[in-house]
Amino acid sequence: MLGVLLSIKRQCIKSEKQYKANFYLMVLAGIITNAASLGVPFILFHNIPSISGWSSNEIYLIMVYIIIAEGLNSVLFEGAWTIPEMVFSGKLDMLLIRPESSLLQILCYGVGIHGIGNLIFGIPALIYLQVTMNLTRPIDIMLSILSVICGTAICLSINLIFNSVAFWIDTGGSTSITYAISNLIQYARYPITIYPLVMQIILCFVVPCAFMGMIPAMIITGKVSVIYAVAVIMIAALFMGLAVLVFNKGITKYESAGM
Amino acid sequence: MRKFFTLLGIAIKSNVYYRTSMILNMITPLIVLCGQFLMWRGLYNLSDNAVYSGMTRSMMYSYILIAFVLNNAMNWSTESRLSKEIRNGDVVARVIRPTSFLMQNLANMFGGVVVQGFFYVIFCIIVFSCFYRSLFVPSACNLALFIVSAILSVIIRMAINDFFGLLCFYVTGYLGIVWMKNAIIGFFSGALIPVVLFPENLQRISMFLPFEYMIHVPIAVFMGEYSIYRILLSFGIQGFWIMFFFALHSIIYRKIRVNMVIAGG
Repeated sequence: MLGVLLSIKRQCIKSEKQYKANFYLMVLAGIITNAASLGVPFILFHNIPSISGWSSNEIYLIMVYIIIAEGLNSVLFEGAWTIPEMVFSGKLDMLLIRPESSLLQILCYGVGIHGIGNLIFGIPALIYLQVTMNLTRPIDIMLSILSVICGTAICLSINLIFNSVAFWIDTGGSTSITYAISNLIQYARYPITIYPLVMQIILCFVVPCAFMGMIPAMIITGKVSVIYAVAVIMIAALFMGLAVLVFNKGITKYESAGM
Repeated sequence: MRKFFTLLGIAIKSNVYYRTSMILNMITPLIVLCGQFLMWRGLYNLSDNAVYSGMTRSMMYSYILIAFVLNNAMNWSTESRLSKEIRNGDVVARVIRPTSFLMQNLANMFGGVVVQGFFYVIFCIIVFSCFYRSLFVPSACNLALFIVSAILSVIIRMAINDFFGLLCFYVTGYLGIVWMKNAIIGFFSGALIPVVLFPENLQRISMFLPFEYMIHVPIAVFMGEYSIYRILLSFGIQGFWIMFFFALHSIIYRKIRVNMVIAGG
């Protein structure tokens, strides 16, 4: 099965690479977008000494975790974003008749080149931050890797759940719902304690972006105990399960576009 | 002009065709606005009487509201339509129509603005009339000048979109260009964070770029931060950028027409 999925991925990368200029522009766009998003707290700290007890480096750490998780998602599971288009155009038929899991096929369908930009920017930034903040013990490195994996799973489940809306609503091939939700992730790039309680609850349990960046950053900097890592893993597993459930429910609603 | 209005009508119709999707597309960006509002509210709550680079709380709230309307005057699919058409070859229909390419493109984008912009302007007016106590309300004169500046800023956005759209003839893909454009516009226009908070050097750089004339400058006019002389100057600069991108359009388009390759036949 893995072989089939890998060959889908390989074809997608090939088809992206046929437009060379676009390929490199996408990578560059990924780097610039992330640099600009780190520019916002950079400018904020120009005007404010600290944001509710968080220093600038700690905030960058939250952001870098999210950037890497989003990057891995784009490179590995970009297909979630193609669901509305596939449902609209009826392309999903092609995947459904293959004797492989339709979910895995969709997830592997397509590759987000800008994600490579995220990783090119994010991974060195994470290493730099960990070195300057003296977080180089083996446990810190393991926590970082764990945070990135869980963050990727959470990000994937959010994308999958909200893109699956296309099974129920006639979206005309594109939906801005997931786009808006992924903008919500941007606001989890700051310590969520500056928001009102309702928003904190949403960011923790409805769209659990806080578990992608802020809580891992709190664990690694020692703001909370290491036990919280278990909570991160549980939330990631829970939402992953929920996403699969929503997708499986949605796909039963799929009507082909007709021939 | 009649041709323009016919094309505009078509664009508006195609924008409102998928109604559920249209309404969702309009409502969902409001989530972003809420997030932005909550973030600044949190930052202003950190200390009493906080003022960041001369921006008080009410000024900041007005800023993010208007910046949001200006930044979302067009939706994603309107902005990237030309690029998509170039990629899949549909652009040939535009090339053979007996009207100028630029006019068709502007009519198309304007259709998006009429639908989406209208909705957000109404939303903005409602918010202003409900919460005028905690928002910065301009004088009538500044408001009138702001409207002129805002219209010019939307035309700049269209001209820039048109220019980046044409570049797709060269790179034959569109996402890369569109994203890069959005990242640069988002940062330098002041949509993500007000330009007045930038460090000195960055402010100086952005003065020479067209982007801050899309959001930052109209809002500065709105808040009455500029003298009348500076306002007229800013209108002039906005006009300059519009002319600049239109001129660039005609140069690039002439080159493209000579050796255009269209998919399929």
